[in-house]
Amino acid sequence: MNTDVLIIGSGVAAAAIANRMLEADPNREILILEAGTRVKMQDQALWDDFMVSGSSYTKLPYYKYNDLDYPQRDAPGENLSVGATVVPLAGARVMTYGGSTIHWGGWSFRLKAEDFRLKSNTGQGADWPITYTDLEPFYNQAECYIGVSGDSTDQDPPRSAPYPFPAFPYTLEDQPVYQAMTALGMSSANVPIARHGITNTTSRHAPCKTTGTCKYCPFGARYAAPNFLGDMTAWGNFPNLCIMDNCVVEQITMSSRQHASGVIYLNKMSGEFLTVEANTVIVAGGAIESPKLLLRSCSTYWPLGIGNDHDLVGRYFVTHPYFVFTGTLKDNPNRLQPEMDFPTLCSRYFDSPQEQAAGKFILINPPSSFATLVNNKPSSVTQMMQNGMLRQDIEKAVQGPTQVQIHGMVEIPSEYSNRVSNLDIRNRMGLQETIVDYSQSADFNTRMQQISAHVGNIFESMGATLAGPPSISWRADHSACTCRMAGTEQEGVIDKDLKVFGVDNVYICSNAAFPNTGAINPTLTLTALALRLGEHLAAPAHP
Amino acid sequence: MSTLEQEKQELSKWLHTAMTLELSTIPLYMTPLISIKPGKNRVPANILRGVMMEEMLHLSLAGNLLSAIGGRACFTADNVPSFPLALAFNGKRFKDREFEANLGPFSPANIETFTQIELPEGWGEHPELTAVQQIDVPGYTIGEFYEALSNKLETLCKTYGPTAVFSGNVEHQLGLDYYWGGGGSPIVITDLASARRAIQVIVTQGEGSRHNVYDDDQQYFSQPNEVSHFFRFREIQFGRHYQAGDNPHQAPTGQAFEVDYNEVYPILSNPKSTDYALDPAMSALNEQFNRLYSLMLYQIAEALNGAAGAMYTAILNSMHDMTATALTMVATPIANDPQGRNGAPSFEWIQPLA
Amino acid sequence: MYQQQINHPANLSAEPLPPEVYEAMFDLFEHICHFWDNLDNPQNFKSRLFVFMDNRMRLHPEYRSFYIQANQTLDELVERLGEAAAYKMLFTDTAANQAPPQTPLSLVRQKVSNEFIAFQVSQGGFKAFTGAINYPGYIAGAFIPGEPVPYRTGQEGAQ
Repeated sequence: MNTDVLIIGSGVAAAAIANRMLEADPNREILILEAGTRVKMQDQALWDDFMVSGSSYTKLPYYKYNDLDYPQRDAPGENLSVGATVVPLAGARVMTYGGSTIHWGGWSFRLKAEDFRLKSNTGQGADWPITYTDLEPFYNQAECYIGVSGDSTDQDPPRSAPYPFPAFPYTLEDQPVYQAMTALGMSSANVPIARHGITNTTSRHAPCKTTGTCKYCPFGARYAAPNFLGDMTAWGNFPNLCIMDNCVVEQITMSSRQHASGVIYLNKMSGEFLTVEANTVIVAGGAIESPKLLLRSCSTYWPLGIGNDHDLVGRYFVTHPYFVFTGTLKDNPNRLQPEMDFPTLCSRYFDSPQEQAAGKFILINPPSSFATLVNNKPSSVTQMMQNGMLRQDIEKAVQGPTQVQIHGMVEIPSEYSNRVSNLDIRNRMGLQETIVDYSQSADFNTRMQQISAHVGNIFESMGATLAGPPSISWRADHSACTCRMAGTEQEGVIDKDLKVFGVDNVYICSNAAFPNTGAINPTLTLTALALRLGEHLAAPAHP
Repeated sequence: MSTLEQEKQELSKWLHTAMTLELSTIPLYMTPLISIKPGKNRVPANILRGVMMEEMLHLSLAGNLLSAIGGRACFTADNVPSFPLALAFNGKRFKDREFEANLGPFSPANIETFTQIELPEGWGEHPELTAVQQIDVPGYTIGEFYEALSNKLETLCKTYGPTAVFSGNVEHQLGLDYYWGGGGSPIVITDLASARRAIQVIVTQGEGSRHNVYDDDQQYFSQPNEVSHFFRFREIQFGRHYQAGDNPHQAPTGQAFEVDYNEVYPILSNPKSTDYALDPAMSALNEQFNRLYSLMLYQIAEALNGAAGAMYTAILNSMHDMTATALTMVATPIANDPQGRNGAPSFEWIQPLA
Repeated sequence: MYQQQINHPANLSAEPLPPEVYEAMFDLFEHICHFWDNLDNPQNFKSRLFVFMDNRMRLHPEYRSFYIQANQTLDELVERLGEAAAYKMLFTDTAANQAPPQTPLSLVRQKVSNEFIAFQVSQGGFKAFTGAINYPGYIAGAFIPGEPVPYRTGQEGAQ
């Protein structure tokens, strides 16, 4: 088999690259190989199953395509964590057709200008070989492609075009946090969120109807790559677009040191190892799988793996620690309740040049806040009825003690010693498992204490009592930097055009490409990079 | 003199006919759409889908008109269209629908029929009436039917005032939340002006266009995405898009696209559930389809009678799964069929349990 | 784009649920609405409840047995205790809510009644207790600039 453009992985990066290339030439030959399998989207029976469970993640039809927990004494699990800090993979990503946007929350922040200069500004981490200005036009395109609802007057960071859809207004439940932040002099902002809005133009994508079951949206209003890929194959006029699932790419093959010839993949259905020849190979397998594929692709030309002569592939692995502060209000006279499933209010006040050295962080008012406490346990109206509470008791409870939270994430500069590599065992998807070696830095706890003080001030202003230290998750959702961009091959794996140093025709389009993460979710930046790569590689349409 | 109530009862019949009229095109367009093999004929498929989506809007608008005057929408075995389609009103066939329309595969004949269905008013290509038909007083054209409906509303407003005429509960109409993915927006009808706008959308987007084709031809093609249904079917016939400046009476000169009538499943035309008596699996699929279809119509009526949320279930549950079932049927040969045909849904009414 | 409708293979040979069981389950739904007095016009939700039940059975064929069992158990309970006391017991008995269900009553409570509650609340039953206009699982509608926002914002007039 052969093709023109081979994309490994079928997530948002693959979908956006394919979208851009096919816009330029609908007849372009593109083959997308996906290790995972397809999940049925927008199925009402599956939605009912999810809804009656109270939106339990374990009831989602793609739950089984998550990693298992690390091995425990009584459970074999998957993967290995060998560093001082456990960075869970379980729940961090979904190995399926369409990738992890099947489960993401859709928070679509842009990096800020200073993020592209982390090393120059602070001496830590690395600089990007491009600037915010270079990427800005592609951020606009990414927001339109994904369908982001946001505040077009928000110029922090600056923007040259409006969001495609207006921002969702703050909720009533946002007001206490909003007022507290304002009283403390912290700026606040609307969360730019990947939810389709109302437009005058015809669109196959339904607008968000605030159903509140975002992880399995019945309307497909939250961007999910499986829906867009399905749309392209079913309704797009792209005769040479082919997406194959259940195909695990084992390695990239080289015809010379500078030139990849294609890949070897395992067809899981037939059990055969097959070859595809391609003119261009784009690795879009996410920050965990992309470096592992390069590391597996050893040959006489690249004994340590493609692009790995300087032992940088898989290194600088980093993610965002996600923190949750919980507090209690002794009463709730306005009967505030969770009404939405995505956040509307955030603060990027501490996501600033002044905070960059210590570690920028953002604060989010979660939609789950104002959870009624019954016997000190958060209870929804549904649960109260199911537990047999009478009407008058429910009415009393919703005005009584209530739990509030503030969530956030903080930037951690990447470090050479933290890395991911292959484990020679196959997981249930047929992919090689992962060895994660991560150890948090010594000054992390100090930074968390500073963050705690700020959040404590917000709670105090709201009249809430902090319930204890924050829970901190190092889960690998925002894994990045494992095949980072740089100006030279001594500093990174790929150049500013995402091309592997020393190879003509292999590109990495993944969060792996980031030199650093900033304080925000990576997906919008990834999509901008993908659209930029798609434009870069697009050939003019054949006459 | 008739009372307002009697007038409204009469109008309710007209509006139920309008709903049946708009509903009837949905199976007609959906069947050839699903008969196209996956990945083939993408432009015609998108055209059929777009037109079908707009017919659903028209159905909603007709339903809103009925609710606006306080009527109660109701789908039964009697007013759900059957195929081959031979629509009549007050005992007379529509003058511009005297041909039968078949539920069948994507084919030149069926596309030609669709152009006849969507013929703009005054186009001048009506088939000559036969001598036999000239003896009877002819029925309305579709355009005349909607014109008469509009005039009736105007007359009633003059006699009884708009508040009495548009007495229905506004919550019993399908608003902006209940239609997406197609051209146009639902209109909530509260007065004569909004009623006229709704009728205008039905009439100009599709059948019986009011514009005089000999004036100002550009308006048809200045916005290619808003080319009316008639011209979209013509594009399929010519395998080419119209572009600004084209003469509507001549072939289009825009971008060409693939039309391959061979890349179509050989589906049974005008299927009935009895056709699947010897194929239990196909029979089960057909029944499943008809149950979902009937439930969808039942829930659309429920939504128009005050249970607004039922519309979401109609769309999310029924419509989605109907299509999935239909796609399985068209790709599957009917067991023991002498002509080796594949199945297709029969769109027959099965009374829902509720 | 459209994938095959999910239908558990065990359903292919199953008899449809008898109409009287559907009606009995709607009866239970009405009792939920009246016990908490939190949803008017239960009749408006009947077809949607039946769709919900069909979806449960489609995915999990054992629900067919659960609904048939529930009909029997509720009939017996009502006969024994009278209507009001029977439903009070069903809805409030603590033992019946201990998972996993080990008695007929606890099966009805956990697999039928509690699920109908989740369904009912997602159809609007939450509004009566809190003044909220939206809830996870409830389709309040799109945010359309110029129209009322489909959740409370604090910008509305006096609540």
